[in-house]
Amino acid sequence: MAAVVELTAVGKWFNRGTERFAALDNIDLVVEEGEFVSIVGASGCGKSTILNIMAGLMRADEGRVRVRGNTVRGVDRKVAYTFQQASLLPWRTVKHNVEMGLELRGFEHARRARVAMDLIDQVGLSGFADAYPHQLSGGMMKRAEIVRALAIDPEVLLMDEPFGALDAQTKIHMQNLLLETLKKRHMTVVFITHDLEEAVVLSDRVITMTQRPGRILREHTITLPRPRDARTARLDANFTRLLRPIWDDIEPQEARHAG
Amino acid sequence: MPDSPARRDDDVLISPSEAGLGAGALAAWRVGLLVVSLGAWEIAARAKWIDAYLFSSPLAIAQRLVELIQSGKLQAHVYVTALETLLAFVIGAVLGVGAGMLLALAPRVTAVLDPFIIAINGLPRAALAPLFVVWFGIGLGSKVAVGASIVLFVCLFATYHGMRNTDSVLVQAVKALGATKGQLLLKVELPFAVPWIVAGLKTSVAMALIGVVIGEFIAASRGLGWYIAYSGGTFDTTGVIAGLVVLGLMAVALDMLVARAGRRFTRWKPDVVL
Repeated sequence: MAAVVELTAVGKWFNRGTERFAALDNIDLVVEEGEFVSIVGASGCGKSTILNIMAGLMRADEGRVRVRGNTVRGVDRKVAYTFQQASLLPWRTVKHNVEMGLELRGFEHARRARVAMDLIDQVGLSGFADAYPHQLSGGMMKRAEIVRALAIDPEVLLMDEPFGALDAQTKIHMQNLLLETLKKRHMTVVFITHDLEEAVVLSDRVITMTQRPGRILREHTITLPRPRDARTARLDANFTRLLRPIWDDIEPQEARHAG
Repeated sequence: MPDSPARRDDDVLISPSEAGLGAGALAAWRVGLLVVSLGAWEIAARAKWIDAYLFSSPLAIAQRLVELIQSGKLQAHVYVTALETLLAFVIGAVLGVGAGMLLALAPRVTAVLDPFIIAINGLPRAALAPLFVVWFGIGLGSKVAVGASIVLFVCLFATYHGMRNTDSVLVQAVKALGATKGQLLLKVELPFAVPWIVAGLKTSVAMALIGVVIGEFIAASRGLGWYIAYSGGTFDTTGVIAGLVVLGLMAVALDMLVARAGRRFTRWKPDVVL
């Protein structure tokens, strides 16, 4: 297997007032082709910063970043990104939002409409193709955002706490939708989350991080069999055994954070 | 949804349902108010409680309007003023939106120009009008210039603030989809500013009319502003008020026109913004 995402000794500094602090310190991370890797850590550990650097939305101050074999200098057109916050353009219908990536690539109208409608069908939003985002529920918006990312036919999918704002039920639906999608499409996924159970259910590997400066603490290989189901995976005999050490990595930080 | 100024119910000060009035009751109250106040004015003038020479009377004004229409003079004045207003509005809006965009894209330029923009915008247009007459002549040009100079700044500020307020998540999302800087401007920042721009256009159409009338006051031989100034000069209060009535009607018509056009561009907005 080939490395699709490679971070070597990556560091990032931020300024807060006159103070300069390290957000990321010496991050080494390799994600193989077709792998699903989650990065978990307490708030402020820099996990979103890692994703932004991979996406080319932010520059690393130190180290080397390569995605699909190229040094990252900007946004790679075969890399898609999804956000935690609502990020559909409110003045565009679902269909026109999903078409955005193809529109930016200069695809002709009929072709991008076909791709968009096909994807919208697949996630059960056909009845809402002409609806505006404010007319959708949180789960529907998420689905539209995911297919907007899929429309550009990405090789790498970077997801920043995509289901963080959803209720428990909807979240499980969305996790299953993602698992289903990955069965059909070959993609490499880097997934940021707060939710340790979610990380275990979805991932091949879970990376835990320390806080300020953000460093990689450990990596945990998730041996749950695939195909997985977000509901039944939690009932697997091994689930708790796999979750436990991740929990042990993160819990002391969260406790300090809460205190 | 980020806060934005243009909402459907912004077209009026308060909606009938908010005020707790049915549409029929509302219309009845409005007509009633008009009839009672005009009636009181007419009676006061006839009973000589007020000096009709200074305050005129509704019937005299109505009669004057009929005369002006029959002679075709009113149509001619309205045509001139409407044409000037339209040109002032369009030219000012195009320049203002364009300048607002450029400033939003160039923060350093904006920082340098900031006090100058504020100073120029602060100049009373009535004081600028004589200069415009010298530059653009006593014809249509100077009136259009006065009107456009007001519209320009309203649209400039509206566009600038709208674009600067663009939700950064939306910008990041579209950037991550592979947008160039130009595409971000056309597909995110400018559309995001549309509700601000529409609100700016709605405010400025009335100001275009004000600017044009100021221009007509200073130097003109035609137009409603000229007619009002001329009537005032001959102590013809009936003429002044007849001109004002027509100006008021024009202001309402222009506002309705722009509001209707604006709704086409903000149709995607939720009816209720929390």
